[in-house]
Amino acid sequence: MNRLRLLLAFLALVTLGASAYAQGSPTIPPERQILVMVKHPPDHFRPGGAYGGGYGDDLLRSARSRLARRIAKAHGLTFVDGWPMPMIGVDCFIMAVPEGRSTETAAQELSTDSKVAWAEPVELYHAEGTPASHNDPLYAAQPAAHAWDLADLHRIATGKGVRVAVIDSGIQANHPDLAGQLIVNRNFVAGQAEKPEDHGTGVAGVIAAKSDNRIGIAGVAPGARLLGLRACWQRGENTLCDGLSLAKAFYFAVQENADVINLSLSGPDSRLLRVLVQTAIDRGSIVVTAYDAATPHGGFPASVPGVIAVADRAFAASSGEVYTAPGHDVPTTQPGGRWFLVNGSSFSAAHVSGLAALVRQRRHSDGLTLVSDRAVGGTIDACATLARAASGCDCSCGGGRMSSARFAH
Amino acid sequence: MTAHAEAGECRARGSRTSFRVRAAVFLLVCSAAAPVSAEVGATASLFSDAQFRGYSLSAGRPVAILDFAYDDPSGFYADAAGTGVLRRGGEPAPLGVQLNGGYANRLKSGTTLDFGITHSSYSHYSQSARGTSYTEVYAGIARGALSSRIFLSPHYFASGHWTAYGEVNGSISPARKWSVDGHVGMLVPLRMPRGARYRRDFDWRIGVSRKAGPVSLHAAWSDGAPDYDVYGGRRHGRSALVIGATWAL
Repeated sequence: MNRLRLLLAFLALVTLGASAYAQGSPTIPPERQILVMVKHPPDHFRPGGAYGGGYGDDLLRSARSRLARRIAKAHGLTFVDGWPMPMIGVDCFIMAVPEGRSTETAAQELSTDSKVAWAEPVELYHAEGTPASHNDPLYAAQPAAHAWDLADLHRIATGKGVRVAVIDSGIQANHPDLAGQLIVNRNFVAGQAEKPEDHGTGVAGVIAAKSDNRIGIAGVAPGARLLGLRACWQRGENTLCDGLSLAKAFYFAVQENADVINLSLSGPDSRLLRVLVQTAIDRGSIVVTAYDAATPHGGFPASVPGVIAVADRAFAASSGEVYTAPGHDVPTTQPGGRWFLVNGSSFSAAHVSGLAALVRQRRHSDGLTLVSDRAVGGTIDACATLARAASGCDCSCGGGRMSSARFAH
Repeated sequence: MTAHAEAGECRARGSRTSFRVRAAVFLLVCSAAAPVSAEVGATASLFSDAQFRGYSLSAGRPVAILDFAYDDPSGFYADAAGTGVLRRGGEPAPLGVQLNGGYANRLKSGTTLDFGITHSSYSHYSQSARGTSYTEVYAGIARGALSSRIFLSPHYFASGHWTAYGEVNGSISPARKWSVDGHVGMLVPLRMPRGARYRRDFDWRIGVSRKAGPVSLHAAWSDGAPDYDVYGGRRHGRSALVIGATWAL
């Protein structure tokens, strides 16, 4: 009886506590925020940990909060929030810069503070997809079905057991072609409620829409499971993301040991995101991103070594060493349980993330070595790429029988 | 009976005086820690019981804890915690002091190694009528959501009781602001005074917590090897549900 009373007391406290602090921090536009990184002390034994429930976290939270407020006060800023990232050894504090002062200047000033590892403005990123070309419903015309011999690929691998993180706008988890494909659907955009959006739902469909279900399309890796991480939002026909939401989502993906991380977007360089991307690659994740043809070296994060940058085939002739994959008139899932045609390098990247999931299923510990029609970059040969990973299998793809000799590049 | 449960019968003399000295050290550490310009964290907590490795240190009574922690960016750290207990009749009394220090190093691979020493001292208001204490050195390894440690004590709640305690802890966050943690531990007596009764003991705990602003709310269910706990002149089962709240100051 006493235990029942304790349990009821805990539930009452949780309910009251949650409602008392449901409002959260005030919404400050990302363009007035900077990210301040401070070295995070290593996690260690705390005597009070015997009480359970993350007791030691609160001590660290208290210390972090004090330090952040002190730094903010010393530099005339407002402390907004904090986000521990112990995996990369930093605490990320979000601070608001007053009007009349540029975020770049504030970040530079903070970077000279001995207590600060580095600081950077919250940048904006944009998805590398263009709106649907028209409002017609889906035609049975997936480019990958022909260009990549998708059905043949699926005889070798479907991505079963592989976890693909989709860092994008909201995904409609209950879309008929995606239902059951998402094992996580989490929102990292501060001050905005989770909702299904065009770009995220489209990218998710290209990667992992269910196959052989008599509706819609077949994803490149229908056996894979998605971690839907909303770090971007739809504004009109554009999809935007801020650096903080991306960092939070990316951190989560690495922490959850995602096999493949899809970033169908580009934007300005960020040291924090660069560290996170490098950490993901060091930990064995395959990071796939969209190539921005309008920016030198494809923009960021395409320019990070180890990241697989992919462009639509329309850029094949002009973009030098970049890999290309289908990205034009791609039918895919859209909010409202619909399917539309989409265009852009975002969806080329999604194709390669799906291919990476197929490769991961066959060779779990390996990275993704793409086979193409050039020594570096060029049009991806999906069959040869998968065959390389599936060497030794008695299987066929692209009209020919695979052998390790044929595909050993 | 386990080495822990029988500890009250083998207490070294002078425990009360010793506890006062340790309490004074705690206050000294706290007052010295406050002005330090680096990261000093502080929390105040309330828990319905002070459970430790499957036994109650507070005779099943609620406790309040004031905890200070200093984490140097170099990896060195120190903690000091003082605990008070609410006695029957509602009268507060000092329960215990915990001091802890060590060094943790995060390797490039993401694995953290941790070494340190911890000392805990409890007054006669604890489950032991004569007061008690123990000191342990420990080494641990942590990676991601999992951590494991081994503790060695030359006087585990009683003089001459050498013990080793191994534990594995895990923590996941199933949703934002929520965390679920689990713990299993085993105590192994290494060397005991002649005639002392002892045997291996194990304990486990599963807990859940929810953050709400500066407050964290905790609930944990713990239990251990089939045995009983003794306090208030009666035997008690080892399974316990503990709830609590922690304020980050």
